[in-house]
Amino acid sequence: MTGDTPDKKWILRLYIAGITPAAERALTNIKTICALHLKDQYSLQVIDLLESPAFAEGDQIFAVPTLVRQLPKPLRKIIGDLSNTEKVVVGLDIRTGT
Amino acid sequence: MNVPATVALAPAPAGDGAFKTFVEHAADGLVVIDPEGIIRFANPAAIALFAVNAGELVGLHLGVPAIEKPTELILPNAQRTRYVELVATDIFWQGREAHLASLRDITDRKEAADKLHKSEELFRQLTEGVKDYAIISLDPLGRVVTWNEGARQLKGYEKAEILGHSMDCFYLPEDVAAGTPSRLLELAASAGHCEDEGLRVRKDGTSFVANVVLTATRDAAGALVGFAKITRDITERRRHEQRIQDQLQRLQLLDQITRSVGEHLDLQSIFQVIVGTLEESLPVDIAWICLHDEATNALIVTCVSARSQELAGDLAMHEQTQISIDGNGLAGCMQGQLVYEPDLGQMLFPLPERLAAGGLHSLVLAPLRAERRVLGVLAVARRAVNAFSSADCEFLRQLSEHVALAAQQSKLYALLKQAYDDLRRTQEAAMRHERLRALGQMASGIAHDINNALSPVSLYTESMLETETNLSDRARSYLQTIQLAVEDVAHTVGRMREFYRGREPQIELLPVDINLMVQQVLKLTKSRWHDEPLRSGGVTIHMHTDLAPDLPRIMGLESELRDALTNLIFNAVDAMPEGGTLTLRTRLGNAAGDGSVILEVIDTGVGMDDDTRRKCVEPFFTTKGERGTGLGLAMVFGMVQRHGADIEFDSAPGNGTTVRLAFAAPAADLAQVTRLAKMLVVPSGLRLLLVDDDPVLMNALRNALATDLHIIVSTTGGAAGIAEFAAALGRGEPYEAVITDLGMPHMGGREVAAAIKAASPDTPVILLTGWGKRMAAGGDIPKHVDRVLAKPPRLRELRQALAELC
Repeated sequence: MTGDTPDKKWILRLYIAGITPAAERALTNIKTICALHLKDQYSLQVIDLLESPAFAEGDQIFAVPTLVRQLPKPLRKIIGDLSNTEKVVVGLDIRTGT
Repeated sequence: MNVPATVALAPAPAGDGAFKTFVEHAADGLVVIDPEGIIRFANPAAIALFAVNAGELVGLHLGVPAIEKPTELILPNAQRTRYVELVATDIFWQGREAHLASLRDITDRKEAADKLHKSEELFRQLTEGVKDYAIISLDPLGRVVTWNEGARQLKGYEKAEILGHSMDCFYLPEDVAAGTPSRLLELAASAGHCEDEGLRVRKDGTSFVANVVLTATRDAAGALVGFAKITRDITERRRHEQRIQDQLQRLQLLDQITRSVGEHLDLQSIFQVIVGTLEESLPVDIAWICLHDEATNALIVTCVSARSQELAGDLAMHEQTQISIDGNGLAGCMQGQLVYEPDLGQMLFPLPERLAAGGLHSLVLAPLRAERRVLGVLAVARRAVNAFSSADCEFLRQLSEHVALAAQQSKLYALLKQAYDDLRRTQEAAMRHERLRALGQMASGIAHDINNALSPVSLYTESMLETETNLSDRARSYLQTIQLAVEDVAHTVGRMREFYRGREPQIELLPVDINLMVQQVLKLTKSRWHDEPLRSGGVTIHMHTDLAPDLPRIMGLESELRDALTNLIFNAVDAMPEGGTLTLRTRLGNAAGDGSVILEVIDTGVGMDDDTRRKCVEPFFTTKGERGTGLGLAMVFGMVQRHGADIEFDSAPGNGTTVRLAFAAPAADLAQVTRLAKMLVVPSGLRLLLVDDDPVLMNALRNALATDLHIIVSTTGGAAGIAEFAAALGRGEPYEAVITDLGMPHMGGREVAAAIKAASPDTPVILLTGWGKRMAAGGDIPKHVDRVLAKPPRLRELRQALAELC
């Protein structure tokens, strides 16, 4: 995935726990949305809690898949497979950001 | 971002107590999430799902749901990861937009599905890669549902082309017609599983031997969902099993044959057992055994299996047929190699051609080798071409070793038996000889004593009858009776000795016409074999003579021969108390004419058992009880020995007896020697010296001789006799003859004779002996003795001796 580089305006993290169907859908969906709305302005990190369970603590993850908008502040969270694009766009406040 | 906890557990939107109760008790977790993603309300089920304290859930930043359809979420949780199905609905909550999220706990379902999936996956991985087994699953109707690599390799169908097809296509058409596949399915369905072995068909139509295990699979409710079918190709295993079975069978056969061989000792029956068993049990179409004949360097057919006699005849292979070794390329076999000819039709030697013409095409020749020598060949043949496996050949090779060993053993046994028989015969002959010798010695000893004792009786009787002219008629009659009695006793004693003594050299053997002799004896004994039996018991004995004409005359003593034949006739008559036929037969020894003349006395009487036959010639052995002396056959035996003849007895109890005498015929028939009887002139007035240790005998002798007016001086003992002879010689009154006893203490008759001859070589010495004429037979005539006279001496003999010697 794209590295966590400081020059990007958008830093997103997708928390998953194993490659479940929902996790796969979530990844596909966020990639499509980002590609459409954020182009090169974002970085997306996928964190598999099965591999790195400690990450759940830092971002206070209570369910997966959870997409976390780390930047721009404030921190926002979206849960589910992100199939409801509108809610994702609203939740990430992408429109306001552009 | 923290939201005041006071908002939590807000009263139900409608304030409706029933609704609140519903929410409180709902099985699904219900949370209200504000647009920032913060939980504003949670029911107890939700609290339980997140596993937090009741106050902590409200205000938690969970995130805004962004889903179209129910979506599976994972709630990482310290105790147990929860799987929930999330359904989100947009609502108004306390006057603003919010999300109502319903969380249904699907952890159990999920885990069960996972487990199932995992095990299915494991099963798939396990079975799909398996190549040695066809592992397939069938639906309840027997149609293929899954198909692994092993199934593809074993049955030849690709997965795509077989799925959905009935398993019937794996079975032979006749098995399908017989309903085998459906029967197996039924069996598996009812019993849980079933196993079957049999032929199965591949896609290309070839078949193989399969082991099939069919297991019914059922769901949790017990309904039949299908079958698992595992198929193995056991063609190879079957082949191995068959091979082991065959090997076992051959071992049993080998065992059976060697056991039977062990029960027989003669070669022919051993061979019969072997070829018979091979024919029956290997089996073969013909089996035979040939033995090597060293003289002709050929194989001789020695034994042909029983059932194949006819075939053997057709093949000119019957027993005793000679088979050339070199002419048939059998040299290799005779050097110990097993020969297998799979197709006799291709061979150009006469024997294979003959066998092939007779319908036999495969032949195995196994050499019978014992101790590095090939004794012969064990041969088996079958009609089919190439009909013997290497295991068959190996079996025959092993068997041939056993056969050779048995043959060798049997030969050794026969030799051993022969040696034993020879030894036994020799031993019997030696024992008989020894027994006869001992009995003979005893008889001679007794005869000696009796003769000594009889001497005075005989001499006085004879003397009195001659000299006492004034005897009363009665006294004369008594004396004559005594004389007869003494003669009888002497005669009996003589017979007792007969069987033992040899032939006196001075008795000349004369040519005897044996046929003539037989006829004479027949006449003489007629009363015994004709009149007596008829008179006493009304028994008839048929006398039959079978005399070969122109027989050469034999050398012998006619009187002895006559006595012997008489004895044999008496025995034959005694052996036929119920009557029968008595045959006297004379003939030449054998066709080749070895010069012997045979005289046979054949009766149809009671016969003899082995024991009797062995002992019959022994003196005093008799089967006639009180009536028999046991001397008859002993005397015959003595006669036979003195004539250098042979005697044989053929007899068995109840089957009569044949006594066969075989005489050597002279090379040329000798002219009859005629002997002129000498006129006896009674000498008288001789000066005679008597030497004896028995005064009674001496007096008797002296008195008897005194009647002839001899001057008689008697001395007791040898030494006294010699001294008297020397003294008389010195006085110029020499004795004209000396009569001395043989057996005397201190100095015997021999020494006396020697001393007399030393002093006066011309003086005749007459030796008297109780041993009779026996000592002459032993080559025992003392050197210096001119005449030996047996005791009791006869006056007549003494007179004759004196007349001839003086």
